[in-house]
Amino acid sequence: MLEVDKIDVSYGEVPALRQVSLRVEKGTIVSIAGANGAGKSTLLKTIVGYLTPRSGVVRLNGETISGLPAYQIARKRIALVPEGRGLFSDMTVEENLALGAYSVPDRGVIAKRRAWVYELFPRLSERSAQVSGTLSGGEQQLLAIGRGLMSGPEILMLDEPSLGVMPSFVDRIFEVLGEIRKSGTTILLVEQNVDRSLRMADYAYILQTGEVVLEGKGEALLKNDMVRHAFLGLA
Amino acid sequence: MPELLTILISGLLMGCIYALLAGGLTLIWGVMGIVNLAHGEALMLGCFAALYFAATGFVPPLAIVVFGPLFFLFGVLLYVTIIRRIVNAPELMSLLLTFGLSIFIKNVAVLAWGGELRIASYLEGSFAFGGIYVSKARLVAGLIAITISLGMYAFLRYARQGQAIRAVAFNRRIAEQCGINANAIYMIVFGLGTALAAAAGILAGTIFAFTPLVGEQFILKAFAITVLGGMGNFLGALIAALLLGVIEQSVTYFIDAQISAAAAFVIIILTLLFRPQGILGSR
Repeated sequence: MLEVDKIDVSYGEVPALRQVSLRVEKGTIVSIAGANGAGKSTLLKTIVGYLTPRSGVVRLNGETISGLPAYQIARKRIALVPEGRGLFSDMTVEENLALGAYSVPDRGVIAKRRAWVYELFPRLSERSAQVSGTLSGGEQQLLAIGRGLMSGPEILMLDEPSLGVMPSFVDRIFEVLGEIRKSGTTILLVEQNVDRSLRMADYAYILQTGEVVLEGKGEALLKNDMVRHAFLGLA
Repeated sequence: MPELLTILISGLLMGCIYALLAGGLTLIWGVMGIVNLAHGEALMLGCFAALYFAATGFVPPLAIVVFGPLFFLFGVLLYVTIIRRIVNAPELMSLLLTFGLSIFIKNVAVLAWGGELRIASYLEGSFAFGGIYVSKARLVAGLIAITISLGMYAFLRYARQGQAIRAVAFNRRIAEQCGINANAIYMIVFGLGTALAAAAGILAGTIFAFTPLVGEQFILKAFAITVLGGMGNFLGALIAALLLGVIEQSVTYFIDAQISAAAAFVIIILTLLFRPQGILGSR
């Protein structure tokens, strides 16, 4: 469904991604792991259209989307839950959700989705009129995910959703990802919590200094020596 | 006591017109990060629109209905042709460009219409009740102005497009991720800002005599209001504008009309010294 085909991306003269390819099949969870600076966020930014690849293309359902402006890519139902959550922190929970559904014309659909998001995250429904900047870190993360879901995405991409979230909330977030997948939404997950993200993923890619160095089924990668060594701290 | 109320009401009505002007300025700053030095010239063009309406025998405030949309389109045209190039550019660029634009517009206006004082007056006299006097023209102008400002505020607060405007103001990238076309929002905002300034001009032109250089005095006041209200804060600008109106009117009454023009400067200095984020700003 989403296909990244041999892209090269650089910041000025500094190359950030080299010949990176990956495929995300419909209804799966695909995980991207790698150390800081390996190019994970760069990859997501390229998919959503903030960065344009020097060569190579990004396709969604066979259609080339790399090179399109970011807002048009967003309207093709690719949602990004950015690192650091990226909420409109001076607006209420309700307004953040409404903006997530900005490109949805049908009010009925929006209301249904809002009800679903509030059902997934009852905490948000209790705080719907609260200014989002005053929520706790975990609640903000749930709101960011909820806002991503409001557009009814075919594919939901999450950049480090467990970063800066209380451990008890991390469980909840991974649980929620499972529920979202059950609803038929495809997930592309970038996580520092490699153990958990590989455990959950159908397929995973390991990035190192801008290149894909390893790929395979999540469970299989967990048994891989290099992964155990570099990310899990196991001998 | 009636004198004080007269001053208060008169100042508030003037403040309503200031609010319209400063609301446009603060909107453009807040969303686009552009300090629009040509904002006063939109007001000046509004004054002449009122004059044109008066000359053709219509009631000048009605010019807002006809010219409001035209000035919106004028703002859109300015955005598409030149302003677009300085969004997200260093502030010096926007200052230079809009300063140049301001000089250009007012000099063309001097060439076209000459430099003599005019006024689009249409309504003489005052209402009097219990010793309080309110100029009729000022009352009409103030009420129309505050209606438009409150409507604009409600639009920004509750309408879908208004939310999108606030979203882009907060963070362009995240807004785009929600599918909002930020460039289209910028275009709309510059159009709205221009139309608000022109509407303020149409109303001001029915009360005060003006020349093509009238924008210079007004833009200073608009800046003082924007600073006092918190840069980019629409509601803050509204409140600050009413304050400035009342302060100016009081200074005129108790001290001297000549000095009232200095009120705006004193406000800028005091705000920057004691509350640089403005009354409703945060940080």
